[in-house]
Amino acid sequence: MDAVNRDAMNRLLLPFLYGLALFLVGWDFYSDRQSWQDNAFLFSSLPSFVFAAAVTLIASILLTHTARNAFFVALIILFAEFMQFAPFMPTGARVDGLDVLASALGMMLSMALFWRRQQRQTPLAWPILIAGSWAALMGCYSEDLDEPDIAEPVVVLRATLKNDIRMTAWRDGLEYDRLYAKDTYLYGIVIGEGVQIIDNADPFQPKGVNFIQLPGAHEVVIQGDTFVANTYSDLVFFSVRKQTEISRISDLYAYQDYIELPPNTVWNDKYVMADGYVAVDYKIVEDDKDREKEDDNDGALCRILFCNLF
Amino acid sequence: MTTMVRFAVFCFAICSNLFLIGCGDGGGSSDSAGVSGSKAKLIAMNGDLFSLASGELIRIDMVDPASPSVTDRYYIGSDAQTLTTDGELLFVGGESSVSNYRYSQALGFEFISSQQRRVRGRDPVITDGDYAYSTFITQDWGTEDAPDGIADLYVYEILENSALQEIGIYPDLGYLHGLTLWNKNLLVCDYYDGILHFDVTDPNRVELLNTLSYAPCEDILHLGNGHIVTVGKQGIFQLMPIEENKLALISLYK
Repeated sequence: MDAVNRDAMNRLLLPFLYGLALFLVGWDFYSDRQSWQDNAFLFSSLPSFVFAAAVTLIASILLTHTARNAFFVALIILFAEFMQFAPFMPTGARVDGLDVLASALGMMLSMALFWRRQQRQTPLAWPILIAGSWAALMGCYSEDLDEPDIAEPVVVLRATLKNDIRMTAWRDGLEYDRLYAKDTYLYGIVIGEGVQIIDNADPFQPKGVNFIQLPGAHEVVIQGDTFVANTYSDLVFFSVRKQTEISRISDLYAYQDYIELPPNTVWNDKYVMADGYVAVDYKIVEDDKDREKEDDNDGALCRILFCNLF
Repeated sequence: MTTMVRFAVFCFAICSNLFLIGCGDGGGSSDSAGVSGSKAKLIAMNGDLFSLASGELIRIDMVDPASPSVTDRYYIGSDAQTLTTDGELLFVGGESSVSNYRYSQALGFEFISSQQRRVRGRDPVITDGDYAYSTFITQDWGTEDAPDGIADLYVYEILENSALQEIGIYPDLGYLHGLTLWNKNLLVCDYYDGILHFDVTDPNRVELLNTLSYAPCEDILHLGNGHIVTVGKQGIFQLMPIEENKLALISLYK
């Protein structure tokens, strides 16, 4: 191999192969991008970073111009951005501001590498700078995620709830969330409200019977003659006579922590629930906005520069 | 539909309900449990009550309903969302996994196996004892075509040691909710499209037969002999088989 060919290979083929390898890794990451965003906090935007870096490197080589030329730089950026959001990409995961920044960093890294390679210089200073920027950016994102919202329960008197459990007349226009069947009856469950009883002895002509009002109900099962419903933190055991009369048998406090909080939200551990009350919902008592006010005076540089923007 | 077919469906419906009544006691006292949907977190099995809450599997003794008690708790992780059974095993659908457990009074809950996937959730499981079927949302929501996400159907073989082994995926189906089995037919609730009817004669090669457009579909039950009931905002749809692998609507009740 003569010196010219060796030089061309050194400047173009090797970076191209690096770019191709990076592209394959980026594609694999991108296919599972939602999981990265949800689970790998510190590297949540890594798929965008790797993918943009790969596309930029390949685009730089295909255009065979140095990244110093403003026109080709613009072309490369447009190409890389198009690839990020193109409909044939493996997933249409949400793209947020951090993804855009991570993509930009990936592009800058590849352009710097390519440029330094073209100049036959060791590509070191730029990558270190860009990797540092990445770490700062992701670091402040991680800091944001690590501070959860604080929630407290919304409570009502347990006795009030129990008194609200009763058989009422059939209700028109209900939308059922779940279904349960036993013998010749269907039970349409309206989450949070109760259970509609339907006589299904003739499936061609079902008939509405009554509605069991069960505040907080999620489901009902029937074992033998006993109905069991999970309502808020309790299991309520009751019997139903001729589908018209209800009599409570017992209650069992079964679920200690049954209200599901949204991601990155925790209960206020200083809150103490009074006896005789049951939690029926939650409310956020301290969130990001409260924290931003607290952080105004002592925010880190990265937070001021990036995090508050998104 | 011809009069003959209508008559056949009618006879089938009556027989099916007599069969159901026979399973119970004619509407009065009965020791049997009813039929829960695949999205349930509360199920009755062999006289026991099992529930799923806050990542815990709970067994409730209700021999005396006047004084029920929690007898066993087993932490399985906050990922857990749905609970179903094939009579001996408990299957838990999680946001990113399907797991199965065994319960005995002597040993309590025993973990058997788990299949993990990097997915996004909504995860009912149904099983016929030999194979289990589950749905997972694998792609993001918010797009025009899939406002609530795209789910895949996952097929698992239940091995001799009762462990689950993934054997197939049927991808890109829609916004799936509950599912149920009737013989070698798998019926999956798609919120927007209705009921997806699969042939699972060979679970390695699940085949979509057709889509019954009774939407939205929130939950689906099989009451026996192919009598299918689904529920959604439109009301309660009931279907019966008019011939092998073919279901017909017999009523819509609002």
